[in-house]
Amino acid sequence: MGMERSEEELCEFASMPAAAVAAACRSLNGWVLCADAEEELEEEYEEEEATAHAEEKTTEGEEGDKGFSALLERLKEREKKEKAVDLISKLRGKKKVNKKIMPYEIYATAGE
Amino acid sequence: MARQNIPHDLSVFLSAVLRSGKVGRGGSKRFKMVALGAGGTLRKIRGVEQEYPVSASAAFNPNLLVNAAIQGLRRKGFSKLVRWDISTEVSQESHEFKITNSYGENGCRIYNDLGHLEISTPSYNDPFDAVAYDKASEIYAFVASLGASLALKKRVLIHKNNVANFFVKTAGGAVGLSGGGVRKGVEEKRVKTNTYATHGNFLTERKACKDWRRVERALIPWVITRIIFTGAGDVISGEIVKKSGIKFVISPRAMFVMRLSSLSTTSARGILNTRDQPHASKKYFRLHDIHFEALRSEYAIFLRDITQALVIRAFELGFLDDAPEIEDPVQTFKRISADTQECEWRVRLKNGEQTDAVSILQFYLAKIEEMLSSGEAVAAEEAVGSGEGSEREEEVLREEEKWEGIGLKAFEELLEKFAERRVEEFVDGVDWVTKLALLVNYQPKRISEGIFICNQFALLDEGVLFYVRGDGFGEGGEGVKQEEGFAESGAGEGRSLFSPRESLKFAQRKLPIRWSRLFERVRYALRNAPEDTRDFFRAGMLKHFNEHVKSVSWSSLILNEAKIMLDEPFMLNKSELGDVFAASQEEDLSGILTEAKRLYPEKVIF
Repeated sequence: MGMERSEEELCEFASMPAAAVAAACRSLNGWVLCADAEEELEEEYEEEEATAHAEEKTTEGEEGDKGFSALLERLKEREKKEKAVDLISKLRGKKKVNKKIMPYEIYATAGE
Repeated sequence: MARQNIPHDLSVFLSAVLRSGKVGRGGSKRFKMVALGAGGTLRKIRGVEQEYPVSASAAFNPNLLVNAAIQGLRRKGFSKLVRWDISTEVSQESHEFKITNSYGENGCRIYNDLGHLEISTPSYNDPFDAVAYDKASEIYAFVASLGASLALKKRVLIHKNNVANFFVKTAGGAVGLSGGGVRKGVEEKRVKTNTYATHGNFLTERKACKDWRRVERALIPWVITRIIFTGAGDVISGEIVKKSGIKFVISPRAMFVMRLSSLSTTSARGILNTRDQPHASKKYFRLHDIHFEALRSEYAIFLRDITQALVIRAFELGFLDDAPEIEDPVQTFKRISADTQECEWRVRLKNGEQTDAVSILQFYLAKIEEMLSSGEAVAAEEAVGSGEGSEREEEVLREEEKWEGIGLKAFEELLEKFAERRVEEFVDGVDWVTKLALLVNYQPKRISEGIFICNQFALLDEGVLFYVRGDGFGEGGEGVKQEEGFAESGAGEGRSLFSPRESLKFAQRKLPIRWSRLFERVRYALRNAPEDTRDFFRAGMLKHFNEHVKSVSWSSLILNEAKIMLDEPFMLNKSELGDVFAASQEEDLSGILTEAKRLYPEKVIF
């Protein structure tokens, strides 16, 4: 178990498709570390993308103000999604794990 | 940004307060109290109970490990056995009758509570001591782990946290604790989480707590939302949030709450705890807060302590009777705790309006400021100013004002940053943010690595000795140079991922306090109780006249020669008694008791 990801692994991470990177970031941010959860997030992302495309098609066919307000709504949604990964991206590089990670286990019963 | 989320009523209220300049402008008149001892709870007497899990590489019975740790402390001269008198503490949970006790030199209570090493600090009354005695407690726990290791000839580790994560049997069969050993190369996916607690205790007026609905109205929104700066952060089993794997949460404790209030601390936990053990005169009620968390950062410990004290005072005086009512507080508590992804920290009020945790905390900040500049407060200030207060009272008031000023300014700054979600600026200051930053930057590939990182942050190893050896940690840039000298002196940092020096640097940046004083204070706190509370007398007697002590409790001391009822929080403190334990001899006992009886003729039978 190394201290940090190897350069090769990081490159691999960087070359992932955008959707997968976004899903991975959200996964890390929410810290749901399991295959199932990651799959769920990817599915979620695909669903969101599909919804966005559908919205675009709808607004194209509509007129002026209505189209503009829909655009604003979409921008708001987009802003919200960007905010969703904001903390994780801001925390990158903020704290190094500069010690070897040790397999410290805690054997403890529930208490109070 | 978050202001947009403030519901109408709250928004109108906050705008009015902000216009009046009462929030954090530093110019408002500070609240002054008139009676320091008699009134009791304006100066909040408080303390923290920490349950430390004790672990070893070999499979020992938890009780054996904890008892070895307690004996280790005694062998190292940090504590002595004592008969704890429960006749004055009507216990409400059956397991408490079975507890064996010892006490630390500083007046702390040390015992085995359900297989955990529990250390209850002596009572203190300011946030700097909250930090010093918390750090002293960490050092006690570390020394206990060394003692247990020697006795059992196995490495015994003690952590400061509130959850233990481990893998449980799956259909496949074998069990692997934290994925560590039993099945090499195969990591179990099902994680179980056990929780244990950190309790905060603040002595409060009983009459204020008579109507428990009033307590719930005033304090539940506070307990739920304060976690954004008091949360210890940790990973818990994903099953708790209906996922597999693990989930990082702001407050692991929040995830185990089931109701608004409860008597029990072990099952069906409430947000508030109704335990009625004042550990003092019946006119007091000890608010037993079971959602304090195992914090390591000085900044967070300081800020939690001073804000909690001020919130409880505001509650006593009726300033929180109109606190926002939250729709489904239990689920809101969990939702805020689990929201480490978007940090929206949404709160829905009973009136249907939507807001967020920061706005709720802004309500509390505003109410505290309103209290501090209220008419009642000004009247009290004038009374002190007119010479009715003694010189000592004024000195104490100045000291208290200082802590309030520092605490409120820091609280206001934190809320401003958090309103803009500039949470990343609190790495090394707010524990959950620091832990999340470690996780994000390590990028663990396996569930067990996530657990290990949080455990390693919580590890109490030789790094805690920084707080006694760190002399020379000066102000400004000077500190860095001297810290290097400290590192060269051979006092190791240990393997814990919590960095005392980074944490202290953060506190130094955010809280204008001479933090170099902390080392001296921790050294004092290891061997002495705070000077201002009744613990000064109790701990002094136990330390210097131990062979005369028959039994002790938080509110009583029975000697062969005398019985002393210690039911007032500030009685027989150093200010009242003088430095009587400085060079006490056997023959001094009689003199000390005579003076105690002169001061409290009805409470000292001698």
